[in-house]
Amino acid sequence: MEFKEVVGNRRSVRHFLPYKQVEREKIQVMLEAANRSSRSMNADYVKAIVVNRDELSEELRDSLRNPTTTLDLDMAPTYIMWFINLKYPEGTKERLKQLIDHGVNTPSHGWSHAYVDGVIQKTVIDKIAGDDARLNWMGAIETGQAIAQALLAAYDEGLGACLHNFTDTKIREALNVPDHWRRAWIMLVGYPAMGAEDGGQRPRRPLGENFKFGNADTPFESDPAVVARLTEAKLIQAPSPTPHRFEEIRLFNREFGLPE
Amino acid sequence: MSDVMTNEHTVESLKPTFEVKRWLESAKLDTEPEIEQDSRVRVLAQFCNHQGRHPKDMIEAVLRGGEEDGQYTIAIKARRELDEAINTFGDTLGLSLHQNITAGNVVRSFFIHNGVQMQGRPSL
Repeated sequence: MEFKEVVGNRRSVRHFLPYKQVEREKIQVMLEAANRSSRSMNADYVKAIVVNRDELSEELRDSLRNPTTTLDLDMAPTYIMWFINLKYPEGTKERLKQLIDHGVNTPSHGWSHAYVDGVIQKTVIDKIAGDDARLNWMGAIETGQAIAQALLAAYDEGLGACLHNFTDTKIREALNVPDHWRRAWIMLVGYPAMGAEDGGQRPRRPLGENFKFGNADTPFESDPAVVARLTEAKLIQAPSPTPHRFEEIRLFNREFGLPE
Repeated sequence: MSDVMTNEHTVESLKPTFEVKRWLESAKLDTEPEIEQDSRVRVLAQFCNHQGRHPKDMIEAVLRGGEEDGQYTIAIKARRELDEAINTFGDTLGLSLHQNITAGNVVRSFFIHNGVQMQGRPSL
């Protein structure tokens, strides 16, 4: 699938085929994509644990539930629990020197072993590691990037997914989750019950409302020719609700006896 | 608290209430044949009789406040108890598992469309 179509296909899927398992290789594709995400200091911000719904005890599965993540846990066959590794500053000096040795961080941009060995610890690393707000802020941004790449990879593999909050009190102990792994999201993965379209692209505000040009007051104007090109490339798709969306939902709900 | 306290809830007594009308309208069940609507209201009536409570009381037990600005908070414990009561009710119907779960979800649908956020239990 072309990149633009993958981006266009992505939407939060909440209706899965509960009986259709996700192939392990597709999960690996998602994790490989996450493992190649952008990351400052080449640090390992993200940690993830993959579990199959049917391999979790009922008690553990129930322990993940919260008011907005309940039904989805029953429907999605695979869960990926994402965490922020709050020990990500560890090993930074070694990794940065590796980047210098690989010709990635170069002298033209001010990089040297001497700078990394003698300056960066107090100037950068300690400031991040010693400030919880900064530590969490950076951790969340970089973890989010990894999650986003895994998410897109899922759609490229013909899957659907949705990110949710989850309760991790019991699962942490059961899965030996270290204390320094901070809960991010749980990604519920499966095959969309209503096809890739899944009701159409979700509503978004006009481009210029959130994206500006030159200053914060000037909307970035959307060029209709670009919109036409992106529509052809399927990055921009039919908006929700697509025709018969509510009939689709009703049929799905009735099949599984769900509230209408 | 509602001043309506009876253990004899019926389709006829519940259907004209604001909460039931709101439910049927919001779920777009009001366009379904009368027999379909009534079958759902009948399940709700059975649940209310099982609990010995009026549906409005049960909503009010979960949604707190609202007097001044129409904004409510959810009483988490009361909602959990309600959800458990719905499961218990379904399990006592003596129908097939699918029918028991579906009946419970009919009741959940009523509460959901009256502002009580809760999720369904699927029949898998």
